[in-house]
Amino acid sequence: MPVNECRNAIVVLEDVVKNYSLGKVNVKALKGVNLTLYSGEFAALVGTSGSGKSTLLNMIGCVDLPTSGHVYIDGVEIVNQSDAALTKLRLHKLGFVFQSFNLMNVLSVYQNVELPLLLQGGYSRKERRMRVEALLERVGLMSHLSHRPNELSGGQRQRVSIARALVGKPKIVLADEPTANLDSVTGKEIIDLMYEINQTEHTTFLFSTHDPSVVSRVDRVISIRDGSLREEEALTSDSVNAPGAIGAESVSKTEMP
Amino acid sequence: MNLNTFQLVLLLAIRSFWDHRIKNLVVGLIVFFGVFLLVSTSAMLDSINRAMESSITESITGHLQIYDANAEDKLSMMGLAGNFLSKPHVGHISNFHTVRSLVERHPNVKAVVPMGTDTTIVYSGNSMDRAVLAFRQGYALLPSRMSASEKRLAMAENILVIKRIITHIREEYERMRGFSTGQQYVNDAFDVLDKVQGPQFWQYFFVDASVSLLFLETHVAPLIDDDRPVFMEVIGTDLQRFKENFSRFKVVKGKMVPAGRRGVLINDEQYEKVIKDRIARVFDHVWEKRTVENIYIKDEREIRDYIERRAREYKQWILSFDSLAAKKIEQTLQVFLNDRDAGLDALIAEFLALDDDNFLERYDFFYQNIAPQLKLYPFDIGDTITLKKFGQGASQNIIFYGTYQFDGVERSGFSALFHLVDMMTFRELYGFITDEKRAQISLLKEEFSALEWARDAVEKELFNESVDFEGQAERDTLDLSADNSEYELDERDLLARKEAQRRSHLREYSQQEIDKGPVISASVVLNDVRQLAETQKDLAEMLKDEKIPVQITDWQTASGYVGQMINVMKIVLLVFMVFVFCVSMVVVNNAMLMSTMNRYAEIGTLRAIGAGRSVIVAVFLTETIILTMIASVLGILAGVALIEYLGVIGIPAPRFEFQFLFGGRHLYPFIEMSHLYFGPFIILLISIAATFYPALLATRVSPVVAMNAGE
Repeated sequence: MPVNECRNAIVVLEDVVKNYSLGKVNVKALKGVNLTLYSGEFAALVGTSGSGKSTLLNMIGCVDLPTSGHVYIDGVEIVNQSDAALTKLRLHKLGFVFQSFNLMNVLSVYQNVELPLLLQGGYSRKERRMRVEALLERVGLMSHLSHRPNELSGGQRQRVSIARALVGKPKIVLADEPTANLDSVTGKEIIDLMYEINQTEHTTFLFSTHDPSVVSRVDRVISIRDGSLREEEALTSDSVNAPGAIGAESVSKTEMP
Repeated sequence: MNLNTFQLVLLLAIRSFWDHRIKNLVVGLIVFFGVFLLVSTSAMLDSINRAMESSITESITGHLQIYDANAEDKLSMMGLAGNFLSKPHVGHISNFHTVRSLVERHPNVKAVVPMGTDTTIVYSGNSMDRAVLAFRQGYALLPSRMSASEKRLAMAENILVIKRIITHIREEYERMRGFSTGQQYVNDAFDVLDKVQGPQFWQYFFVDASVSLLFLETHVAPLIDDDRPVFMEVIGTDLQRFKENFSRFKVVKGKMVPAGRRGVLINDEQYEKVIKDRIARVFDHVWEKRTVENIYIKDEREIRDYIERRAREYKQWILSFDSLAAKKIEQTLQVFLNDRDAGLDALIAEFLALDDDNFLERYDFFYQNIAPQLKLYPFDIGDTITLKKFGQGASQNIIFYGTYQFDGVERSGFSALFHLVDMMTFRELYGFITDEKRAQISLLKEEFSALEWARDAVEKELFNESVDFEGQAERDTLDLSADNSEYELDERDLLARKEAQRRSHLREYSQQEIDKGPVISASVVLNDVRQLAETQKDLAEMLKDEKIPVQITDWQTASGYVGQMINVMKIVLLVFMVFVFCVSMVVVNNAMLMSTMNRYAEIGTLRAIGAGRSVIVAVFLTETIILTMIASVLGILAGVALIEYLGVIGIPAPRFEFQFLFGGRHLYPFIEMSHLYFGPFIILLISIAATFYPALLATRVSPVVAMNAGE
């Protein structure tokens, strides 16, 4: 399916700058990033550790705010929003898949997936069960409904996490290094699952990774280095494997005092 | 927060319980002990309160007290004790009868008992008083036909005793003059002594023996202080009604004052522990420790110190022996201690060196051989003793009928504070002069006027001048109420009153006479104590409607500081609790903080996937509330179990003083529903307060944390 068929923007970043202070050191994590993500995209954010990858995801995930610039999620500017409004935004429009799964070990698999629905409220028990079970079916964990997350393998946990991210019907699912804690085979399976969902449900995905092998399956690779983007649109499987494709953008100095 | 979210919160809170077991254990234990402590102590305090209420209301105050509406101070039955210098002004009820007949109409009122307390000094009489009394008793038996000289012969021995005492007094004052020259009272004393040692006094003694004896009593007796005056608080009351309505009252020795008679009942505890011969008390004390409490001399330093202290005073003790007794005691001790050459001093010193081995033998010996030679009590049952109002001269001779105790609290100290006198005596002691009394005095005055010639003649011959009764009268002035102020007390009054008193001892007073007259206050005994507040209100209105100028107060207020003791205990406990709770709050707070830090990832995740701050706070509070409720229930159960158990076996009073608080020899604590709410409620508030800071910190956890978790 051509990517540019439904081009309505879900995420728009304009000149986003993010500075941190680590003790006495001022770190410029993002240096004027411009980025637009469109509905139905399956995009990878690649970059080395410390490149600003996580910071960028935090901006898009509305868990952190830029020092300057604008972030629009589904047309809503997040800068200057209250914490309550941002929380609501995250609850209804964003889905999260974490590197360490971040499941509630005290809850069962079913309850973990149901959690965002309970937070959203307004669903009957029946509606919730249909949604949750449909998703668990989709990720292949129907037989593990009442298991606790710590009884599952890493891959299974990440599947639960994906089901949880999807249950609230988000505009975009943000996955922060979803395969980092998994072996390569399982990691590939997770990427496959996400891609499959992207293809069938047209859910928008943005995931960060530093694993070159997973990049083969994505429509779009956004490369970040030292807080600046270098985007390679519509990479083909071949071009991904080309040397220097990732992280070969122009060098900009990290400012150090 | 919607219902679904609440479901989630509850689920998270319950499911997280085990995960936070360390925190939960710490907090749970604190809550458990806090609730346990609060429940059991509030039950204990209430039990003590109830026990004390029984101690007080069944012995002295009744449930309600009625007293003068214009009183400047609050009525305080027990607050009087030991407060000699500044007596509270509590006014009086001018006619007890009207109050009684009105108040007893209320269905919940069982009885109204007239009351008054006052501080008196009890004189068993000094040696002169006793000698005069002995004289009077012997003299009264002489046939009236006897001539003066015959009488003189018959009374020779008594006269000798009196003369010897006077000689002794002179020696004392000679000694005193040695170091305090020019003191007016010393000079006055010599004037008096000169008179009674002059030949005329004895020459004309039998012309009118009553006048002569009166002079000895009023002028000579005050010069010596060899009696043992005992300060004591008396309660003036209608003794019969007191007996009927105060269930703890019991006569121990002697008998009850007969109905309508004047008389005093001494508190048995004080009679045995304060008034009794001091060395006899040593034997009693050691005996009691050994046989009742099973504590031996070697076990307790206090006993050894007590024995030593008293033994050191043996010389003083010996002085109280009369010569015949001293001789007999010396002889028996020489045999007993097998030391035929030793003198009395050495023998007594040796005898009082008590230890666990020789005690029983010496105890028996003391009571078999020494005690019969002594006057173990300055006054025995049946004696007439003199009660003197403290600070003023009004005094009353009164028959000591027996000793009493308040059952169950007889050894608590509190009950030993009071002695009971009849209402008529109390009124006069306190300074009320009733119409009846006034009439009696004026009648007697006329009687004495008729005898005036005789007395004048006697006096002239006796003293060559008129007796100065003025000074004495001043000292003897009664506390007259305003309408009696026209009474100028002169010698005639004095004589009249003395005589009136003597006659009144023989009289039996009707209930009407006892009731019709002023009292300090009235104790109301109720049928149902639970309706105390309502009854108090009813009575206040009834009395107000009748325009009787009185006020009404409950026993707790009326019993003064003693009744307030429970409140003091409550405050002390509260302060202690506040301290304990501050500490526990810090501990709880810390435990919560630590647990919060361990939960950063969880909180961050919840925040990231869309849980608002209120959800986080709710999770924390719900956890705390659940934990507190579980621990509280356990704490309540433990508290109830403890109190119920103690309620069955009873807590023995650790010391006699505790009998008052315990309402007897054992405290049987009880627990009521009302004890169960307060503790858990306070604890819940505290734990919620302790949760707030950690919860606040938790809300500040950034969702970013979730992203970095596990990295």
